[in-house]
Amino acid sequence: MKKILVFGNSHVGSLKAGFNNLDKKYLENISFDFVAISGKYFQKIYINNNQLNFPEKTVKRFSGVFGNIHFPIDLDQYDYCVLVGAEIRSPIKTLIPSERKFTFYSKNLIENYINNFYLENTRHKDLIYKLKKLFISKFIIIPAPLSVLPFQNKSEVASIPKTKFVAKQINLIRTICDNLSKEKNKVSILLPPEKLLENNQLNTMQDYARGAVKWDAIEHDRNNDLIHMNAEYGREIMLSLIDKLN
Amino acid sequence: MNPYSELPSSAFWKTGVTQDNPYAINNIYKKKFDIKPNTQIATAGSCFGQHVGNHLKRNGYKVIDEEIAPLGLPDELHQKYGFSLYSARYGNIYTVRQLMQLAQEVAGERKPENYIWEKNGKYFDALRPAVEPDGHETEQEVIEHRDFHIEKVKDVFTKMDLFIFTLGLTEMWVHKQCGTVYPTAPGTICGEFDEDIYEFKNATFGEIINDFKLFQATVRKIRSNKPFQMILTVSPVPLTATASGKHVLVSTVHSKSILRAVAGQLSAKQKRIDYFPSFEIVNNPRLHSTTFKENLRSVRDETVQMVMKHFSREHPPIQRDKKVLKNLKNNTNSLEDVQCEEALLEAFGK
Repeated sequence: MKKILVFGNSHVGSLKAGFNNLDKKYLENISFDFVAISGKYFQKIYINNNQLNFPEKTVKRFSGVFGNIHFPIDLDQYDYCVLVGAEIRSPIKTLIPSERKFTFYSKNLIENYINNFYLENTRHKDLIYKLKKLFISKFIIIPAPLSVLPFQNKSEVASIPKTKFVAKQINLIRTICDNLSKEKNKVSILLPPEKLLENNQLNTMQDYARGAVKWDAIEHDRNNDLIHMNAEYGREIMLSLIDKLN
Repeated sequence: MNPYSELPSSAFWKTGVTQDNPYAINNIYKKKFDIKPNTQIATAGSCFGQHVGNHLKRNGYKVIDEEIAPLGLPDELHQKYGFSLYSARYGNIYTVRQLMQLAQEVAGERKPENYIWEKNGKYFDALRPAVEPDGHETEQEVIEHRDFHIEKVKDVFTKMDLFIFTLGLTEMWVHKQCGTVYPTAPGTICGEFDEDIYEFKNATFGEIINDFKLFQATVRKIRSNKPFQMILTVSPVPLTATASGKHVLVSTVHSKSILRAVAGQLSAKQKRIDYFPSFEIVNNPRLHSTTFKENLRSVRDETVQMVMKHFSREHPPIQRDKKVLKNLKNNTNSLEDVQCEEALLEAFGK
């Protein structure tokens, strides 16, 4: 039985909500613990003596610890650690900020960037460094979802990538991220399956933002929040994660 | 009374050079036109030209960058991969013919041949070999990246209001059959030298003027005749090596004299072309070559600052909101960071 810790900021909520909807057949040899820390309080989390810690006074109000676990969380009990959101932008977003301001990078440069610099520029790089040290290649990062374009811009999101170069670069980024999990000592990066994205492959489909959930995995009125996703999105990501773990 | 009696001190060697402050020479540069806060500036040229672009960015000018580095890529890798050096990733453009051929390619008037060179199983764009130092995995990848680059250069040429170009060399290596000019000699960064395929050429004054006018005509076509201004400079950096068969000092003076004369002629004849005398400021005898590093070739950081101070006297920093200024300054290399593949030739010296 593999034991997995899924923790991160509010984006954990959709994964937990999606997990709750999963058929048990997917969970025969695998168990998950979920821990979510609300947005700005995420920076208070720290690792000490292989334990994940969070200040006691803020635990009750701003964290979602699901199941029978509580802080400090012993990391040694887990086979894999999955860090979700945590202000880590998707490499698709960092390498293609927009179609308008697009630069076509070589395979060599993208590999170099993802392997050596992508995580260096995240706000929680110290935390990532410690988790990487503890879990080595059994550390998976699920970056924040690609944003949803405003609902009124339906025609815009329906378009396929405007140039062949953008499409090629997206494929290249996906291939490089997929290959990371096959390499020793490399942190894996799990990107959302293509079917969750608009035709442009740069934005999450609008449907997945309807009924988005917060860190506590409960649906809130988030129709206009184009950043957080719903339980259906979380379910698809969980299936993709389970597939990777198997 | 004679024609010299009413002339300013800058007209006389004694007062203009011997006695004037070489770090702030009076009247050495009088701008022909203003660079306005919204002027879109494109830069290109020999490695010294990188300093000009950096200075303008630091001082709040709008310097076009059509091929930006990935967010968070360290500064040293910007240079390694040819980012933030110029307005697109064309690397150093040492000769006017190279610039002219690039414009023709952008205009669809020229399809470069023999530009994919191989080294250790990797493939390089020989027209800008330094921007992908580890090469591409396939020839097709080189072609695709060049296609993209040319689209971006077209955007640069279309958007720019002002083009700043630093003339660097007259010596060049040319493909005999198709006339393609390379920024580096075959076999230095990549490729292999074959005297049946490549030949050395040292451009004359007339040829450079013709190439430059062809460049202008081609860019005008790309821009549907929308006019643009230019500032020309001549790189003060001596040749690292010459293939002319003459002494490198003789060849340096020959090349720089021609380039200086070309810049002078063009700026004298055309109202939209200005000349900025970086060459003269660096090579001022009053400074006894102290403007150069110990190799008497590389220009010191302080020299660059001193040169650009002269530029700032006529084109002062643009006052901008701090946040805007920070954005403009991003992708600015430090003073000493210039990428110069021509300097690699030093390694081939005995």
